[in-house]
Amino acid sequence: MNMKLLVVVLIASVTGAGCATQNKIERPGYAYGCPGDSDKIKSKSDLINAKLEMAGSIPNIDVVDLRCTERTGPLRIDVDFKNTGNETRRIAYRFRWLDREGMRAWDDETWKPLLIYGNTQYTVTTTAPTQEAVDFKVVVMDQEKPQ
Amino acid sequence: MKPSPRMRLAGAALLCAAAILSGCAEKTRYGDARGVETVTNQFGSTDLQMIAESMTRSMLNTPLVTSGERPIMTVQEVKNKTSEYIDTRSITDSIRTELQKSGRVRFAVDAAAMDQQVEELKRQQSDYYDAKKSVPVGKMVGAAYRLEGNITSIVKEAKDVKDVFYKFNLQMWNVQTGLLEWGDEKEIRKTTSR
Repeated sequence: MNMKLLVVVLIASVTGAGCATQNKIERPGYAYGCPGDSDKIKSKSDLINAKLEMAGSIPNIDVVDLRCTERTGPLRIDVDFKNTGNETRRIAYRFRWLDREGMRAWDDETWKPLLIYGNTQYTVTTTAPTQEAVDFKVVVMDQEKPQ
Repeated sequence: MKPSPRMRLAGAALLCAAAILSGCAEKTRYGDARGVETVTNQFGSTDLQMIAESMTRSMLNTPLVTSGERPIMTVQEVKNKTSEYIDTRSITDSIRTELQKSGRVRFAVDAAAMDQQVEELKRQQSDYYDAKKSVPVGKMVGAAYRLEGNITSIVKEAKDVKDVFYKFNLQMWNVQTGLLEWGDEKEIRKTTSR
């Protein structure tokens, strides 16, 4: 009886372990669910560095997380901005869309102004404008000096 | 030879005149067409571009569009309910262009362009055209969905502050069933202080 129970537990644990390993497997060309070179991107920080373009220094503004999904069809992206200072900051951002070959897949987006209160986080969400846009960069610039 | 006091005076006057003229001269430069424009708090290019982008991306996420069926739409009026003049046709044109470029939606001729469409069809039926190479009439495709919306604003003004709040609303209606298939809003707040 005990032996049977042991076998069941072993099978269950092996199956469970298998599922857990499968969940961690990334599709080729993806890292942390986002398009990117998984050989070079070993952490979320690497992913953010690979996808972020700061147009000059932007004091007190950090990108703290970045998430991607293609569950509903086109590539959807969430970018979490954080204002680490006490003062309200105004920045502008836009996405640059790239195709499979790394060529530009869409015209320049408009710069979108964003106000972030002090010590708060704000999530920006966007969707790829076309199916050819399979990769991206998020470009951020300062709209004013700290108040 | 030493310059006379009169020559010195004339030279100084010339220098002053040049400095004043160069100060008054207008400068024209190309700017970033996609840059954040905050010249006044009236409806501007950044507002138009942000609204068009926001509405388009939202619509591209609807099951109707992601299904790959390439639904046929038509653009109806966006009513301007603000107190200022806004070319709402320009907003819907931008939305239509972005959706068309995405390749996931098709557009049927809208009411505004119908006269030109009919005129061209009629022209091709005339004796001037080879009947075999003219497009036949009665083959136009009707839209299954129509887009309509409105833009409203709330303006508040105090001694040193003017606050303008815009709300753009767009809806996609099923022409056959009359069901609302999709709708979204974009809100913009602009504050000017002295």
